[in-house]
Amino acid sequence: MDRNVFCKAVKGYHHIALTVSDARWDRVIEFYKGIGFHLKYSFHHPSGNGKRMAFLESEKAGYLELFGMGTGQLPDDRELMHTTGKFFHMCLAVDKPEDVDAVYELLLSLGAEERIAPRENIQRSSHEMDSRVAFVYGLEREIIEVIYLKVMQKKESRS
Amino acid sequence: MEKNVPGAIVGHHHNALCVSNIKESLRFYEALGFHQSSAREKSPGEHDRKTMLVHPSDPGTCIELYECGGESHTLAEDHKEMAGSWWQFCFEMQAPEDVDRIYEYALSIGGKPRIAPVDVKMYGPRKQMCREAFVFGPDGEIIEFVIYKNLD
Repeated sequence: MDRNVFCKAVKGYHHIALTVSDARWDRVIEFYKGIGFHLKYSFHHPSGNGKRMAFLESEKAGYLELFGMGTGQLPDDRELMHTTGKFFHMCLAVDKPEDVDAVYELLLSLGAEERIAPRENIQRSSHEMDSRVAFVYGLEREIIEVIYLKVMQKKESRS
Repeated sequence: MEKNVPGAIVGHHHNALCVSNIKESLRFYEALGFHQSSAREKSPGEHDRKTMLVHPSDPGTCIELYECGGESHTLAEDHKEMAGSWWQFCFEMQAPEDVDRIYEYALSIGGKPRIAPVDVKMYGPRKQMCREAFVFGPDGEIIEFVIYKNLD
């Protein structure tokens, strides 16, 4: 098999997993519903370990897979971003620069905390990634980015 | 009329991943079909090198690699029980047999086995079955290959 065979076998991105504490489970679901996801499935882990699971679906942004029984607290940003093999933020795309600000304000209104307010991000070496970005902490301190790329590659609706 | 702010979100763009050796990660992800859409070399005052990888299957299948690993004593696997942790990137496959083929392929290019292909029944409001497999990427990141099938 080569990479071309792999590419043909892949339909696309399906989800990123997020661990959630049971105490905030319902609030986290409401939070993501507030930005357009809806609860597709909710069930317990097939292993019988009692862990809650849920899939939240967005027509345009794929799925979030939530796992319950989250414990502890994420390390600070510096350690988090230097944890080898760690997925440390999830990024959602918008197609107008002013929508970065609108979605950022929406996230804050839903209970997110400010991390980096909307700003221009101009690259020195290549303008392919010139963008307007903002970052927030979700209800579990997960990092969420919102991006408008001047050279935007739009994703077709999943439906 | 009030603006539909959630409707402004047009897609998933990427997930950021901390890696220890960007060349080694590029070799692995390029073998999975990703290509670089941008790269930023380390410059004075900056401590990270990063690049955006895009998969041709879907513009929303992007991974942003940051070469910034190595300082932490924790592993990504250790974070998966931690509240607030993003920890698993999942590809949807075209057919059930692709899960098996791609799992073997991922191992052949340097991935490490985590969970071999398996059928899993999930009982929620709708009965659903999936075939799924998991590998570890070059830095222990968890990658899933899945296809779902409704049973009702």
